[in-house]
Amino acid sequence: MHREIGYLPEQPNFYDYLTAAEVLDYFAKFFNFTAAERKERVQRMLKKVGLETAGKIQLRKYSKGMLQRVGLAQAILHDPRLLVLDEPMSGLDPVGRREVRDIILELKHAGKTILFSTHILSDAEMLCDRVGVIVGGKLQGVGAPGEIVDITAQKMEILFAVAGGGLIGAPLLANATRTGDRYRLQVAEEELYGALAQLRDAGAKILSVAQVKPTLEEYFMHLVAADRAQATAVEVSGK
Amino acid sequence: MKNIGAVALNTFREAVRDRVLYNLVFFALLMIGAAILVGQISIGIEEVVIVSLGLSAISFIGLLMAVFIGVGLVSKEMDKRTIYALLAKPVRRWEFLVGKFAGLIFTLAVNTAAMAAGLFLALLYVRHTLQRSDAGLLVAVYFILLKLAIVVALALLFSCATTSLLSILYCAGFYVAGSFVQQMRTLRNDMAGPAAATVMRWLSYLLPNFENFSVTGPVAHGVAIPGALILQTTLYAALYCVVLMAAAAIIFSHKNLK
Repeated sequence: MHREIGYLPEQPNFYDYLTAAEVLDYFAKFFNFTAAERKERVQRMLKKVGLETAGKIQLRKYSKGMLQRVGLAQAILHDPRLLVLDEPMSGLDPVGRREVRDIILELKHAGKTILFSTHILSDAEMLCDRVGVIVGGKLQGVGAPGEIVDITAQKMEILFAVAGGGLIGAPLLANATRTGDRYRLQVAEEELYGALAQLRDAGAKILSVAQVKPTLEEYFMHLVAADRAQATAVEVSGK
Repeated sequence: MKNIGAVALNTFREAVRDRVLYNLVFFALLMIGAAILVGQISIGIEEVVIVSLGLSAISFIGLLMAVFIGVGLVSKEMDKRTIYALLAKPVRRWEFLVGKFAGLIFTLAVNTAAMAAGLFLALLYVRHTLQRSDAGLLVAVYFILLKLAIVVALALLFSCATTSLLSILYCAGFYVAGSFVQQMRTLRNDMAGPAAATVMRWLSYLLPNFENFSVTGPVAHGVAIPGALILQTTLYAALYCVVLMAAAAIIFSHKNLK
C-alpha cells in the first residue's frame, strides 16, 4: 500500500548531513528501482522541484522553502497514485508557491489523487475539485468549492459611471463604493432590476453587471462565526 | 533485507559525518599514546600495561558511543521529525529499528578496528615486532564489539520505551549491574537475607553478563582464548541481542509517533 502513497509531512525535515540528491536516493532505495533508475529519478525530481543546482548541497544549508521542495520531491519520487500533502505551500515564496501549485496541477492532470491540507483558502479554491472545511476540529462542509460556498445569499454587483454628478444625493449611492468616476454597487439578486431602473432613470451609464461569488474564505469565516456563536450559546445555557 | 541495509548505511553515514565520532577516535588514540608512556615507566611489564590500558580505552570509548549514539538513534529521528517521511515509504518499523542497530554496530566495528590498529601500532612501537600471541588481542577486541552490540540493543530498547535521559541512566545501570553478575550469583543468604539473595540470583540470570566479554587479563599475558569460548560468547551475545531487539520492535510497533 505504501508504494501507492506519497506523503509530505508538515514542515518537513530531513537528514541535514545529507544532500538533497542523497536523501532522495536513500528514499528511492525502499522501492524496487535499479541503481540507474534511482539516479535518473533523483535527477528528474530535483529538476521538477527546481533544485537541480542545489542537489549537492547538504540540507543543513537549505532554507525552509527549499526543504519544502525536497519534501515534495520525495513524496512524488516513486510516482504514487495517491498523494497526501500536509501544508504543501507552507514556507514558500510567491515563486515557490506558484511552482508547487503548477506541480500539483500537473499531477492532478496526470490522474493522481491528491489530498492536501492548507490554511491558504485561495489555493484550495484554485486547485481542488472537492474541499472539506474543518472548523473547531469538526468537518463542517464537504463538496466542490462552488457548491459549498453557494449556501450564502447571492448578490449582484453593478459597475456604473455617472456623468456630471447627476446622481449626487440618490439613496443608492449611499451603498455604492466609489473608485475615480466609477461606482460599484452590490444588491440582492431580487433587487437587481429595480436598482438598474433607478440608475438608468438617473442617467448613470451601466458598465457591467456580475454575480458576486462568495469565496471559500468567506464561507470559512461564516462557519467560524456560526461555530463561535454556538459555543457562546452553549456557554450561556451552561451557566 | 534491502530496507535494513539502506537504513544501516544511512546510520553509518550519519555517524561518519558527525564530528563527535572523530573526536572519540582521537581520544582513544590519545589514550593509547598514554599507554605507551605509562608502559615506559612500568619496567618489565610494558606490554601488559599497554594491552590492558589500550583494551580498556577501546571498551570505554565504544561504550560511550554505543550508549549515547544508540539512545539517539530513534529519538533523534522523532525529535527532528525525519521519521515521518521515512515510515511513509514501504519500510516496516522493525526493519527501521534493525537497520539502525546494524548501522551503529557497523560504525562501532569500523571505529573499534581503527582503535585496535592504534593499539597494534603502540605494541609495534614498544617491541618493534608483533608476535603470534598478539592475535589474542583481536579476540579481545571482538569480545568488546559483542559487548557493545548488547549495549546498543539495550539502548534501543530503552529509547523506544522512555526518554533519552532515562535510557542513558538505565543503560549505565544495566551495564554496571551486568558487570557484577558473578558476585550477584554467589551472594550468600547471610549477607543480604534469603529473599534479597534469591532475587539477586534470579536477576543475575536475566541481566546480560558482561563479565563474559572480558578477556583482557589473559590476553595481556599472552594466554590463548579457546575457540569454544569464542563460539559460546558469540552465541550468547547474538541470542541476547535478538531478544532485546524483538522486545524493542514490539514496543516501537505500538508506539504513537505523534
